[in-house]
Order: sequence, then structure tokens, then C-alpha cells
Amino acid sequence: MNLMEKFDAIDPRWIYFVMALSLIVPVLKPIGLAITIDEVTTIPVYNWIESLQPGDIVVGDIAFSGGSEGELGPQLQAWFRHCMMKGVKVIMVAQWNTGERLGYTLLEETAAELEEEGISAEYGVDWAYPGYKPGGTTLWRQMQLDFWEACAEVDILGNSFEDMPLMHKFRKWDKASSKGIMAFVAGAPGLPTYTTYFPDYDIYLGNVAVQVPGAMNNLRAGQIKGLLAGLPGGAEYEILLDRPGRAVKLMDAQSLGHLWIIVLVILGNIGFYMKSRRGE
Amino acid sequence: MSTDIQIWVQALCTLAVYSYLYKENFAYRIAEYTLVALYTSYQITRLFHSFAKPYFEKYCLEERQYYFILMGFLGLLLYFRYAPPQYRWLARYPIAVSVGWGLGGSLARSPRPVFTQLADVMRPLNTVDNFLFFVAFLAVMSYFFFTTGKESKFIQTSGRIGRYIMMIGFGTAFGNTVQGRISLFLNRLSFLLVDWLGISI
Repeated sequence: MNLMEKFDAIDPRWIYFVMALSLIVPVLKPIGLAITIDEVTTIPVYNWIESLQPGDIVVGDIAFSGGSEGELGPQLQAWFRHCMMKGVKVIMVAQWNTGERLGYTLLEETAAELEEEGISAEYGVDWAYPGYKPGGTTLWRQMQLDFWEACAEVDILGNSFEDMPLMHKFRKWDKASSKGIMAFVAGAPGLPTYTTYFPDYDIYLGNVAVQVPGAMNNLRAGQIKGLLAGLPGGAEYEILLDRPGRAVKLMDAQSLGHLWIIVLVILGNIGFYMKSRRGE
Repeated sequence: MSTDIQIWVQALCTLAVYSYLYKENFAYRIAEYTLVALYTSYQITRLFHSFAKPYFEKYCLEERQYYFILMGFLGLLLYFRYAPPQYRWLARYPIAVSVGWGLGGSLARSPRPVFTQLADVMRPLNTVDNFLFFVAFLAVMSYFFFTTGKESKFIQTSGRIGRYIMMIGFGTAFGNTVQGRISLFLNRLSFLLVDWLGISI
């Protein structure tokens, strides 16, 4: 049995084992590989928040669940931190009920950190979380007409909008009341809700890596103005904020894991070519 | 190492799920079924508290919009799927209403984003990027040309080029998929190392 035949017959569990090693080692012993900030995708998101005035309101959307938290969680936290640092108010809705509570927990965690640092991130004043409301895109359309009515005037915790100063500035979701939309999306329902029902708004996207090639069409066509792509998108945003966090720490492992996959793809193709030549 | 029982449950469930990579086993099954059960119970509870209760109180009781109750009854007809066969047809009514409503809404609105992208295809050929995009667009379209003339050398060659271009696109998607999956694992890994084992990274 030659080397290629041995590779061909290898137990897949060895591949997983080496992959696990190539991820665990750089997490424990970071190498410090360079992270390049993408001018086309990440910078527009950052510049958008930078261009806003304190008191401006933006709407964020949690359209992901626990399965995508690894990619979208760091993005969400970095973006939210930026908003709070700039004094931009954030209202979060959730198209996915499975990620609703997760999104709240992530923001609550970041808000507590910000408060400790002396940056105001008071719930109900600086940010609010109406969360998930069933009804799909039809309800999102209704939110544009009367946000309070569409949400039954309560947030995720059951608090009345009447008791939340921020919500008094946001009775209707229109271009005058919100200075853009940031959707963190892992699937459907997701971005099409906004490109379909909010086409005239400034839409920005935080996307899982799997969907990024598809989202590039939206970016090119101007349907979205900026895009945070997977874990690297979160890492780039953390660097822009000059506050490296979870995403930056994991990027070495991300790169080495990817390298291992590239090696496997090359080996697989060589094996396939050699077998084809032998007529197998 | 963490002393929080919640962290321990999370960690053990994470390990149970990853144990599937070694082989199918009892721990994996337990984790899988627990997740499904938790998800279902969570959905029911959340929807009751975040939707059914506040909407009922606000609109039916306070504002006396009683037609909400009517729609509620219409929705309950879905459960007639489990009724004796002679009553099962009743379950079709809520489905008919929701499909008709959804389809109407989609037909009215959905074409817009697609046409925006279609319009974006028509770009001036004044840059190399745009020119390449135009050639790639035609080549890929010709791959899906299944009618008269598909036997011609030109269409076949163009279709083959289109196929290669699509393969590049699929390669990009694959690369991103790998990246995404690694990110998900890294998230769990950092949880196990930092939150569970207490190792700082």
C-alpha cells in the first residue's frame, strides 16, 4: 500500500483529531497573525456609526440562534459597544425567537462592562429590547406604521414601553426615527425582510461566513451598505474600536484551521488525480 | 474550574454533542433529545408570555377588538389534523388563509430586491472589473441555455467557461462554510477553556 492509498483509507477521526489540535494550540498559545481590515465590507459599518450624532436611534435585529453565536456574538457585542461609546441609541428586535434571549444576554453583558467603564448603557434609556414578535414579515411591515401597537407595547422582559424613555422617541419605525438598520443574520428570515420591506433604509449586515458570498451581491447592488463577515468581521470591528476581544483572540486558530483544510483539499485532489490516471 | 452548575451542564452537553465525531453514542442521543425538548418547551412558554398574553390583554380586553379571538379560533382549527378522519378537513382552513395571505404578500413585494440586483447587472463596461463581470455573467447564463442552439460550439464553450466560473463561486462558498464551522467550534472551545476550565486565553 503506497502513501496515497494509506491517506485514502485513513480513519476520518484522525482528521478531526488533527483539526482539534490545530485549533486548540493557537487558542492557548496565540501566534499573533495579522488581521487585515476590509475596506469594502467592515469599514462602511464602522463609518456609519461614526457618522451618527449622540441621541440618534438605530435598529438592530437578532436573526440568529445559539448555533451561530460564535460568529455573530462578537460582531453584535463590538457593534453595540461602538454605538454606546458614540451615544447612539439602540433598539433591538429579533426575527428569530430562538436567539432572542441569547441576544439580550450578550447585550446585557456588554452593557454591564460599559457601565463599569463609565460609559452610559442604561436599559430603557440608551438601549431597548422589544425582542421577538411573531407574525413574520407582515408584522415587520406593521412596525413601520405603529411600532408600539405591533409590539403590544411590551419588551422582552414584559416592561411597558410607557416606562421606557427611549421608546417614547420611537413610536413609528421610519427613516426619520431610525438612522439605519443593522441585521445580524444567520439564515431565514433574515436580510430579505429588510431588502423587501425597508428598501430605502440604510441597511447593514452582520452575516455568518457561509452566507457571505451571497450577501456580496446585495452589497454590490447597494441593497446593503456594509457587511461584517463571520468571525473575522467581528475581529476587524474589535480592532477598529481598539479593544481586541473574543474574536481577535480566536483568529489565529481560525487561520490555522483553515490552513489545515486547504492542505486536506490539496491532498484530496492529488489523490483524486492519481486515481483517475490509474483509471480507478 | 467553574463551580457553577449551569456551566457544568453546558460543558457536559457540549462534550456529549462532540462525542458524535467519535461515534454515535448514548450521551449524544441524550443531548440531542434534551435540546429538542428544551427548544419546544421554551418556544411555547416564550410565545405565551411575549405574544399570546400581552396581545390578548392589550387588544382583546383593553381595546375590545374581539376579532382577535376569532383569528385565535381559526388557528386552533389546525389541531383538527389529529381529529377523527371525517373532521380533518377543518384543518385546511387556517392553512389556506395563511398560505393565501403569505403568497399575496410575497408576490406583491418579493420581486423588488431581485429586480434591484438585476438592474445592477447592467453596468457600463468602463472598468476591467465590470467587463469581467459581464463576461462571467454571459458565460454562466449560457450554461443554463437548454433550448435550440445548445449544440453549437460557441454555446458549449461558453457554457463550459460558465461552469468553471460557477465552480470558483462554489469554492468561495465552501471556503466560507469551513470558516464558519471553525468559528462555531472555536466558540465552544473558548467556552470550555475559559468558562468551564478557567484557563485564560
